[in-house]
Amino acid sequence: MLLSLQWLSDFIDLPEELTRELTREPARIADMLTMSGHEVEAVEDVEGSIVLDINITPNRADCLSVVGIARELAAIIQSRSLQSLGQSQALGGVMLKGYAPSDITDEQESDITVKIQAPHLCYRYTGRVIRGIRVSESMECIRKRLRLSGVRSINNVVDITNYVMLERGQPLHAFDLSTLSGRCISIRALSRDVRFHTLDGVERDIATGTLMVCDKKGPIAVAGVMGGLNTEVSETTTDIFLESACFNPTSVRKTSKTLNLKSESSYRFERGVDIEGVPTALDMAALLITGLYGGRLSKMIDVYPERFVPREISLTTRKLNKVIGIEIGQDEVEAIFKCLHFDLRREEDRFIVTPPSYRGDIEMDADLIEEVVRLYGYEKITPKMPHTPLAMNKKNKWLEKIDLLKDTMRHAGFTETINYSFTSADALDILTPPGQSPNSVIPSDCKGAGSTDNKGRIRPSDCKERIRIKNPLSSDQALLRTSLVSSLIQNFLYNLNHGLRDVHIYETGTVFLNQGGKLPLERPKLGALAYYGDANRLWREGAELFFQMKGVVEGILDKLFITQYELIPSKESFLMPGLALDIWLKNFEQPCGYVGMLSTEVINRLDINTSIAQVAVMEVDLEALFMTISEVIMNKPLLKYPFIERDISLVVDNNITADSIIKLIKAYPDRLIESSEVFDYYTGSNLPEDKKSLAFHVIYRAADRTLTDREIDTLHRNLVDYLMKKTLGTLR
Amino acid sequence: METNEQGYTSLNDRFLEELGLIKNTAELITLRARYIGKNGYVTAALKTLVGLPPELRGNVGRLINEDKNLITSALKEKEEELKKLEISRKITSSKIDITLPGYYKKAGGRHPVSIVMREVIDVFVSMGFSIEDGPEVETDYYNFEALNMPKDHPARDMQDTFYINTDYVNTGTPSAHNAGNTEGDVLLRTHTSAVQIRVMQREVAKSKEMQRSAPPLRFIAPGKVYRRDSDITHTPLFHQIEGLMVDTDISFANLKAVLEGFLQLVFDRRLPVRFRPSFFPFTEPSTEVDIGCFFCKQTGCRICKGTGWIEILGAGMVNPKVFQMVGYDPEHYCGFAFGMGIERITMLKYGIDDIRLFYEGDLRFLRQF
Repeated sequence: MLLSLQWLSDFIDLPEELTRELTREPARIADMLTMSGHEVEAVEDVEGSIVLDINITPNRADCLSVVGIARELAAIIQSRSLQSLGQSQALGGVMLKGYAPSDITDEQESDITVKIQAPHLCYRYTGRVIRGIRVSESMECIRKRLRLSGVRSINNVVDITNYVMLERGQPLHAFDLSTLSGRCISIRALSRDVRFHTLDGVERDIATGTLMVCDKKGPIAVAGVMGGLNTEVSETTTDIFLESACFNPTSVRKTSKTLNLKSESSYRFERGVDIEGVPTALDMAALLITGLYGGRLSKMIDVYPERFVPREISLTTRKLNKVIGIEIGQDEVEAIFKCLHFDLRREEDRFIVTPPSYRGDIEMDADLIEEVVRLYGYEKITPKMPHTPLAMNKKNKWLEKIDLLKDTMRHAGFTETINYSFTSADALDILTPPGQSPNSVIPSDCKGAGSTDNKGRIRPSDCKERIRIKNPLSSDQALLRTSLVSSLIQNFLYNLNHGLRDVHIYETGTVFLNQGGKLPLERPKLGALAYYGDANRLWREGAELFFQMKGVVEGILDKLFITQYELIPSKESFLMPGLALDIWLKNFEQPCGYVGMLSTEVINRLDINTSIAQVAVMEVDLEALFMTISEVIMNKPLLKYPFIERDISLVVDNNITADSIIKLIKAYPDRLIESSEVFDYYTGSNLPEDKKSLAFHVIYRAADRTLTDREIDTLHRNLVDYLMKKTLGTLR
Repeated sequence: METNEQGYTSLNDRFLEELGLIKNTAELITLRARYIGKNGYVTAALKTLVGLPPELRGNVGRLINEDKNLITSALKEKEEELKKLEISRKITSSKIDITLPGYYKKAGGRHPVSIVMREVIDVFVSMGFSIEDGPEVETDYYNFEALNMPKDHPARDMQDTFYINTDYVNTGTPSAHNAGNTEGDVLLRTHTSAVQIRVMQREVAKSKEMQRSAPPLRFIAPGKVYRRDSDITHTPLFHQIEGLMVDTDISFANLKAVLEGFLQLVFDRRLPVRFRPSFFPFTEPSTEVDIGCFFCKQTGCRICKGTGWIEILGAGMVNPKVFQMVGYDPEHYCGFAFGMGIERITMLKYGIDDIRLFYEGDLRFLRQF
């Protein structure tokens, strides 16, 4: 809210020395307001006047006016001086002036009647007829004040209604009397939909139930929001009906939201105006109009179905001091309430406080405590550390594991990104074009996975629908993402377009899966993407991109001490067949993730300008990963006796995997085999095209004696025979 | 063997001359053998001593020994010199260019927001706060209603909300079945404060089961939040950390001490901190917390918009209405809640002036951290 200091000084009388000091240094006024809850965002010199831009919080409707801020400032200055000078010498001179309008005499009878037909939506309605005015341009001093407050000048009558609204916080409206049908104004909720031209020239559809001001023929104003074009005050207007009312804040807000029509008036009504100040504002405006531009006033019409009943709130000093954490004396508290014009009486250690009608925000003792401490000054409360028992919190395992993952990724050369949770259909379609159901990777026995059926699978019907944002900022941010890799691909494209040729990125974040009728299933994921461009590299990567990414996955599982898992060739449609693996954890009915190269179709869809784009990706479900029981580390005694190492080199068909041979060795019934590993892989010249050579180390060791070469020779020969038979392989 | 009238001519000059001609260790070894080896000149000279008249013997012996010492140390010096020379010759003649970079995989960067998020969490964990979590897609009830922000309340204007196009979600609250009820509207949470409600409800339910009163609380809830806002200072997604401390005797003075302490720790310096009154529907009294601008030493700059202060936190004493809503007895319990945006703290710590950089995924930016 914009407020000119000059206007403010119409209402506040300060002792001379303070006035001089404050006008010389408007920043001090700004600071006082800021430090008591009305943040001044800017102090500016506009046309030779100091204008404050004040951020009024939604609870303080009473401060949306010059008078409101004058009241606040007076209370602040008074209470500060009370505290610094003591009660005896406190400033007596801080006064509010010009608060009430002078009495109106010489009124004519009114021939207008007002009926409130919806007393739950309109709490009070007052009005006066003014006859014989000349509509013209406003005086410059009025126009300037409006201008400084950011309000456009229309004509002298409308300007006065706005002027009084800015000054008093009470929105007013003037109707051209000659355009009204009949002499009865009713305030009622629409019983059917209507089309209505508002003052801004827009014809709007207004729904049944909306509160409207109506004449005999129909609506003349959207109550509290905007008047109608049909009753607008124009240059030819001579007689007006001036309205000052109090409408239900919720109703005004709903109407304003539905019509997408905000006005200075709706802004104040939806926060709540002072019901007792309704006639005061009407009189201020009436007197200004007749005083400045002539005209004769009729008597006030005041329909006020249910009178305002002041609210009594009780507050004990014990509670006050407990909540604040310091001791504030009873007299001091009383003085602060007086500065705020709150009525009060003391009953032993308890205050019974009655806030003024304009303080609708004061509802309970907590609100009173805030008022006291706000004017007392937050800065005067000495900080005090709480005295509480030591907390015996367990280490947060989840966070620890996330740290571990992030460190692992970082050391593998991956940079962390964070992406929006919303994305475009295009970005999601790159992986799973419409009609193709995603091969969801959800673990079966996770807690919190309320969406899954009792076998742990997401029902396919639920997966189909993507989750849509009703009011996205743009159409490419309208869907909640169902995978991290789709976001990482966007990051990859961005960096490629910015000339980067080495993109190693990862993200941890949530993906959202539709469960219709319930909150979406939120799954925490880790996703990564790796790409080397065609740039010449000094060192060749030791492993192909696929094996690098696979190594990342294995590294993570290893760091988490997860040994019970299998990597099984994946049929994921967006991955390259034969260069993709699903990650299966033991006891899960679905894979918890995948690692692989993006398929050629996906790469083609990306439309990137490099010769061969090799992009490795992986995504894994973190809840599944972190919930899998890690191997418990127990020290195993070291074996004292020496080991014997033997190698096997087999030539097998291409479709026999290294993994399957390792499994055969592991399953081979001989207790002396301690471990085995692949150490060589070869295809090419000297071998038929459909064959490959695999070589393994096998370590033999006994727990209780030194093995002899002869014993192992026999054993090893048997193993080799067994493997050749099983794999139909030959020795190399 | 030459002898002068004293029976010995010094070997020194000849040795030094020969030493000067030595080019490598092999030659040096030969030279050493020739002078101080078993059959060397010095050994030979010593053998002549027995044939000398006794009056000369002592003197000549001394001279020979002096020469021997000199020769030995000169040889040693020369040996070291040659070794150094040979190493450097090997270095310059090597076929391997060892200035080529090492086999070190350059570490990736961590997202600055996630770094600072972690730091903030650590500070609160060190103060005994535990960590809680809640969904990012929330119902209207948890995000607004239960936090004293009824439908059609102007306080909702403070947070522009993304709504989700999904069926009505049953919140299980008593009024959830009323017609026109919006509690079940689904939205992207606008603040992590929604977690407060979930945690307090959970604790109340647990303690009812165990027939005891609800426990004191001390936790933080970090996470992503969403607001329908996008410009140089706002992104539609950002990160918050919410905190709640509830007990029978928690005061505003406690709130000040904890948050002041937190700010000193997270910025790792003594900062001026000010608390000014503000408004949040779920706290009463409410405060906004500013830190003195450390870019301009509070003289006013672009970052603090000339005020010398930077807004960093929102906080307040839990509104009794919120306690009532979740079933904590507001007469028995009080507490404070706070919330902060992590992006803002991150921008201040690293001198980042455009919030949008965080979410563009530009590696040139992210690799710096």
